[in-house]
Amino acid sequence: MKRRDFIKAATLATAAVAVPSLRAETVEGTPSVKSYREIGQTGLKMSDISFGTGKLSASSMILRAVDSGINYFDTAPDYGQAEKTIGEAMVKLRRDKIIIASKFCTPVPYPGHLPLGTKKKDYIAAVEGSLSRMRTDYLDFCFVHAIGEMSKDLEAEKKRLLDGEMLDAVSELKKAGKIRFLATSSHGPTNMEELLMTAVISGHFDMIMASFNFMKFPSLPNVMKEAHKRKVGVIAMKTLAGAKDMDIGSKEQEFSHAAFKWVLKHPEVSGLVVTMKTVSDIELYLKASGAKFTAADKEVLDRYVRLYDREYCRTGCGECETSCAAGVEIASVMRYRMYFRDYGMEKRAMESYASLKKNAAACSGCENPVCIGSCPYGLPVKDMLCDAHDSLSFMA
Amino acid sequence: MNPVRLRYRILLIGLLPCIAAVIYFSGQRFDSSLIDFKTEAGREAPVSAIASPPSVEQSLIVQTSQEIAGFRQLGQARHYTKENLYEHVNGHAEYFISAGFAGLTVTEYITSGSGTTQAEIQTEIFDMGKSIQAFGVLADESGENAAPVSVGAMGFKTSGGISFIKGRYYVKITAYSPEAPVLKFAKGFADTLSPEKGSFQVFSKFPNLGKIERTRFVKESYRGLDFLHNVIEREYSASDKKIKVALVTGSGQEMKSLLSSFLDYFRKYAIPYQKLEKSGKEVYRVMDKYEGTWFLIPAHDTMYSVFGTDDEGILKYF
Repeated sequence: MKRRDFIKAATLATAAVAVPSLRAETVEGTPSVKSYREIGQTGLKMSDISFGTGKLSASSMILRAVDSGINYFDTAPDYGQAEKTIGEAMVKLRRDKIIIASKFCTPVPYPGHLPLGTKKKDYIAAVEGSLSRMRTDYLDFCFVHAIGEMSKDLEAEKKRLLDGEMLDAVSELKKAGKIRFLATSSHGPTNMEELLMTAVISGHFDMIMASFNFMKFPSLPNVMKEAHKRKVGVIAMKTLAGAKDMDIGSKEQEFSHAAFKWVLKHPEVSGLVVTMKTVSDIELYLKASGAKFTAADKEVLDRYVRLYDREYCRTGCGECETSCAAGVEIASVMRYRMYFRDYGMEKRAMESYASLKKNAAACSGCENPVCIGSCPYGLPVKDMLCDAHDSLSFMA
Repeated sequence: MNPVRLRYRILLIGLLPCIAAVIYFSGQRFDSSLIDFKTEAGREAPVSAIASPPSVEQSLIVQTSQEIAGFRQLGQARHYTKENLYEHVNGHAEYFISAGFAGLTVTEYITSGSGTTQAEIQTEIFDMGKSIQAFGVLADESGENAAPVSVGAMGFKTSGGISFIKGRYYVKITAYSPEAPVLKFAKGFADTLSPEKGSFQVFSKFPNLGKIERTRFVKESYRGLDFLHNVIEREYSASDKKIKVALVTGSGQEMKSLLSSFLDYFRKYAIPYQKLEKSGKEVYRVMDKYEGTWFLIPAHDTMYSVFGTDDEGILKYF
């Protein structure tokens, strides 16, 4: 058989094989989703523990997740090949059984958020790009992503959040059936709570997604309560608080389970999104689905706080941002450091760091490190910035 | 009060003068083994699927050409080892060392005939010990949407120049002036690197199945499997279908261990498979609910996984 003949034969053979439908058949004892919760007043119910595709390795991971009961998938054009990989899985899925959330971004290394000033046609083009890559006709949610990240100026980010061009594009996309609901997300670094509150009370957004975990935030519960009152859905991310030490729990009390259960005990929260990198991650994380937060879980979290309270940068806090005369984007540097060191997302972290306008290159030689003492949680800011630059910079 | 416990207490109190006497007469001795003063260099390297690179002493210093494409070398080449790499890459040294770094040669060039002392082009040749490790670094640094150029192997444009691999070398060329003909220089420079010093033989292990769509390196957890790291995946187009061949290389023992991990995984998740024999070789046909039917093909120093076809005809290409 010649190579060309083989390829042809292989193609025909593959095409002839009917794709087996995914069933809820799982290996005995394999964990699955136990709880689904409504997302605001969208009429959609999401798995309490849902899939973040920031480090999606293969379409089979999506299929496994669906088989385990996960129905909500969070992605973005700037999460590497994630959208294309979801597209590979899509041919084997019933589209109406899953919820897909993507972002107003371009497929460049993170962050590819569309900036203020983007025209309506470009918002529309961004969504159409996502649809094409994911081989689907519509997004369930489209996010104005990472609000509070592109500018420290509250008013500038408010404008991006409520940009008329974006809202016009959403209106047109909704009419065309290309998106169903509008959402926004924030992990700061600045003005997270205020911007999310603005989104909630604006009436334009059906759901918000916020950094929310057991180590923060003083004002976020108010935003969540307001969202709940107005029937705006709330999804949590960054729920593992840096995931510095996943072994901190015991055989009986897994740290990630305690962290998830803490988030899910809040009635305002529809569900949480966590990056699932491996088959084991899916198995491990789903064991917490539908489970109640217990005193033993609290002990595990308390232990974590005792160990890492002075190491974990509360993304979204941003209190240190104004302290640096050189304008170093401290909170963003800290977040990329967390992606690099704690999340194992080295490549993405380094790409993101390279895109910062003011990184931490000058910190080691800084003669006036006023950032020391600027952290309300007592973090050694200067040392962490120097360490971040060491880890994240490609070259001197 | 429990009388037995009281007895023990009295006994212990009675022993105290004896203990004190022993300490007094023998003195307090410092046991140096209690504290480990070994330096990092003296510690054992962590176990990794990637074999250790050759030692600095064994690695060859790359000899660079004095004249390349209208440029001449400015000053002497600078050489760096694991111990002083940080002086050049300031912070990224750990990354390179963990990826297998063995040595770095840095040279600078100016236009031939120019009297300037300011370098116009800088070249950095990272000896990564193994070609797959050079490829791993390139894959990490190139990003998802790198613009390819025809220089060395898998060359791509960077913001300031061109990077590529050749054998076990990862090469970065940086132009300090936007006018510098960096592409022409890079091609000339790539030609001066001797392929005998470790040609990228791992690519030759891939079968010739058709048009190559892309080749990528997956550092860890290929397809979500915790035990499958340092994989090179090549995607071929077959009409409107895609065939993906994943390749892992290592010692015979490492491949045995990897096969064992695969079989454990199949058992744990009740994934049905058949053991076949093709041309005297052991092959596994895996009926996977999520991946479709695929083939696992162990060889002495290589493990192939073939996705996208269930036709056994493909096996003769391995």
